[in-house]
Amino acid sequence: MLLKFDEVCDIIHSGVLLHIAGTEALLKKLPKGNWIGGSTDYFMTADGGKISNDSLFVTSFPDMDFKITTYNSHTIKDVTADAYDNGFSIIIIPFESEVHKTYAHNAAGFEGMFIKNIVGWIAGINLGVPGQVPVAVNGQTGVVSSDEAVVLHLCVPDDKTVNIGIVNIFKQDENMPTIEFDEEGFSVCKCRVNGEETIFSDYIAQNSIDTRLPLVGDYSGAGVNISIKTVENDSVSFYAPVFKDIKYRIAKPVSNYAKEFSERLVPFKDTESMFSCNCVLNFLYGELEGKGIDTFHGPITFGEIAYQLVNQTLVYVTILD
Amino acid sequence: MNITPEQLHKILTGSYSFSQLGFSMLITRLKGIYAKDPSPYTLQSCTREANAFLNKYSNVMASDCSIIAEL
Repeated sequence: MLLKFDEVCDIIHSGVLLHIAGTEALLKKLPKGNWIGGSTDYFMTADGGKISNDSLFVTSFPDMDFKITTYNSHTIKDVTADAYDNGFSIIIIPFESEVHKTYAHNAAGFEGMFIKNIVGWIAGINLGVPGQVPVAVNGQTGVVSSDEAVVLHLCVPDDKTVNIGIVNIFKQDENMPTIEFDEEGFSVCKCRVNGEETIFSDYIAQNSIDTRLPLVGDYSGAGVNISIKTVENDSVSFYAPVFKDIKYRIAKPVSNYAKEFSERLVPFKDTESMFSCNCVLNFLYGELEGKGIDTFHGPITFGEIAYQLVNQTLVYVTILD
Repeated sequence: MNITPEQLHKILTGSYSFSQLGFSMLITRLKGIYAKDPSPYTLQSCTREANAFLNKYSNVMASDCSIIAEL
């Protein structure tokens, strides 16, 4: 829920375990305690999408075993080993940090990934306010970092099952060709369109591709979005890396994001999530400010993590009996 | 349920869709590994990993298990 600064301080002082999202300035002023935090000004609340620099989105957790750990680009590979055997871990990574790049490129190959449950988000800034720095905060130590990830590892009783899911309002447009990449990374020059080598920026220009639509990768049935950041000269950059051996297509256009989310969320009406987040590109392109989404409230983020980094996606975690 | 190496070989060399996110992502990673080294040793290793997932998350895998059972 979205709370004022003083209310959040009171909850921290009570000792409750918290995940907190808010501006860098507010996070820096919070007292030490059992919490992790990350920077964003954008939120999806029960009252709809909001932009706020004077409130914080707080998620509390019941009495569970937990540990809070920070990781740099060299140690992030240990995040799965540090996670509880039965539990889930919420990771917050500052946007465009080295640890962001390392996690994005390598997370799928971390030992035990997918057996352990890693969710989370990329911390950002207010896109209209200059001079801000994306940060992640370890509330126990008070350390605010622009180059380290902070992780809240949570333990779940053995008779419960953790389930990580995504709600992706985009799907591959089957009328569009397949796009594959021989080079991996956050930016590319060439791709193969239906197998034929092509300059990707030329393909985008010649086909008037709407770059607000993500590439949707086929992960054995799961659609994983990669959002286009910029198209400059011969280079196309993304908010998450593209990978070899994945068949992408441009997404089918979505005309009304709020309506699409609401329809997709009907089966989750009575679902209580432990954590969820949604993408700032969905918020901006879908003009979600002031528009309500019935369930799964949380921070609006600069990249979402459902095991690995995804874009333009709602991520949630639930615990099942 | 347990997946056999024969069933997993079909999955890793075919085009199957699963509904459980973690399993879909795991299979995609294993497909990449197996494509690079399609040896019996790699298949055994991939089978162990897939079975670890299936055993741990059996209660959210019902629809995917029925796909596997038909292979």
